[in-house]
Formats: sequence, C-alpha cells, structure tokens
Amino acid sequence: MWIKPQGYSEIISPEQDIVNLDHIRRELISPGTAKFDTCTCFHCNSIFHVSARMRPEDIGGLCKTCMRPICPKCLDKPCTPWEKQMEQLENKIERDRAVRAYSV
Amino acid sequence: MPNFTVVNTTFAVAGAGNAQGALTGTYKSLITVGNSTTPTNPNFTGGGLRRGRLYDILIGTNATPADAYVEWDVERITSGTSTFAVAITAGGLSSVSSALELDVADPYGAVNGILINSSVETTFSSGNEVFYVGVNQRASYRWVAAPGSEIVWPANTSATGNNGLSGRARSGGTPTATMMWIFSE
Repeated sequence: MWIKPQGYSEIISPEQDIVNLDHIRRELISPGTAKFDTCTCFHCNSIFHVSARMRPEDIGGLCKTCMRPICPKCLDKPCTPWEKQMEQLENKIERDRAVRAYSV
Repeated sequence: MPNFTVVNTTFAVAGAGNAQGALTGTYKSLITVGNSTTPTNPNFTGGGLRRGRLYDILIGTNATPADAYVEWDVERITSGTSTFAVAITAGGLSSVSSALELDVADPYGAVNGILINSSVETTFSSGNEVFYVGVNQRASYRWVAAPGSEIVWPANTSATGNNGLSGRARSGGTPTATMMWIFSE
C-alpha cells in the first residue's frame, strides 16, 4: 500500500534512545536527527508516524468506504470521517434550536 | 485563513495564562485553544466560532540536560467556560491581536480563545488523543503537516463537545516544557 506522506517529523537527540510513537510502538533512534513521515487518519484526525520500510499492516489501513488512510486504532470501527463528525457537532446547536422552536 | 503562532514561554501576564512550570507525573496543559461564545477577541463582538487547523508543533525542554522521559500529547477537549475565563478577560492572549499573527498585515487576531500553562486542567475524554510522542528530555521534536492533513478542531461550543485542543506534557523528571504551535483559523 502506498501512502503519500501527509506530514513530516524530526526528533533531534544527542544520544541513542528509545522513543514511543503514538502509543503503538517504540523505536530505537541513533544520535542526531531521526526522521519520520506522518499520516493523518481520515476518521479520527489523529497523527501517526510511519517509519521507512514499515510493513503496510503496521501502518494502519485503507478504509474501503471512504478510500482514505486510517490509523490502527480506527481499523475495527465504522467509517466516520472527521469532517462529517465536525459538521454534526457544528450543526447540532442549530438543530436543537429548531427542535425547540417547533416543539409544542 | 490567517496563521498564528503561540509559545508557552511568553505572555505570562494576567489574563493570558501562567508562567512555565516544572512538569510532574500528571499531564499539564501547556497550550490550549478552543471556541467560546463569549467574546475572546474584541474585533468579533458577540463571540465567534471558527475552525482551527494545527499544522506545526515544536517541543523541547529548557531544563538542565538530564535523562528523564517526557510524554507529549495533543488532546481534543471540551472546554468549560471557566477554562477560558482567564483568556477572555481583558488582556487575554487572544485579544493581543498584534502579537500572534505570522503576517502582521492580518489585523484582527485570533478568534479562538488561547490559554497557556493552564493552572486548571481542561476537561477531556479518554480516547480523544490525536497526537502522542514520548522522548528523552534531552531531545527536541518537530512535526509539520502537509496542506490538508492538519489537526482540525470544529467551530462549536462546549455544549456539543470537542471544541478545542490542548497540548500537554508530563514527565518522571521535573523539566520545564516548551511547546510552540502554529495554526490557522
């Protein structure tokens, strides 16, 4: 699976160290600059890091409903794009006002 | 959409937030942004709701180098009005319209309320973490989003939830955390 990078991150460390990425995995980095591509989950809008030569099954997945990359945490959840969730949150106030206005 | 930059090292004045403090084992909110119907910017009377897009995060510590583990995250928050009561009073960070824009030609300042180094932790729900990295205290970290891949928060009030973001940090040591955001709205 080919994912076009949706972000870029750098860790600048003076010594070899283990970093925790996204609560999902730990990686050993060398002294200097460690670089990672990042991807933005289309469902929850969270950022997850992608290392070089990473197995596709560890990166996350491709939602077959919206055909967008999603993070590993959203793999077993239904397709609910974050854009749609925001519209529902933003419209809820207006919808509640309309219900109250038209209710008997 | 105008772009803004916020650092938790400055504006330690009444109404904008607090001075930097040492981290503890409990998450501390360093930068908090969110929408509120209470006017946060005098140029937008009656309050304004606007989506924000966080696309650049720079983090590090300004403590004496030591080997301690620091966890950094960005959480979606449901801000109570009390959380932003500090920011929206006179002298609040978001009303300092000339100090936050990357382009000084943008005249109006940020619509969203902004609070740095909050002394009152914001309300958030578990599972709403959108960014996390755990690194050594000696390390610094930067993330930049490609256009269209930013962390976005909606233009709604706390009544419907998830109306803002909070950048936080905690550590087993006691370094002083520094966080810089660049966002647009």
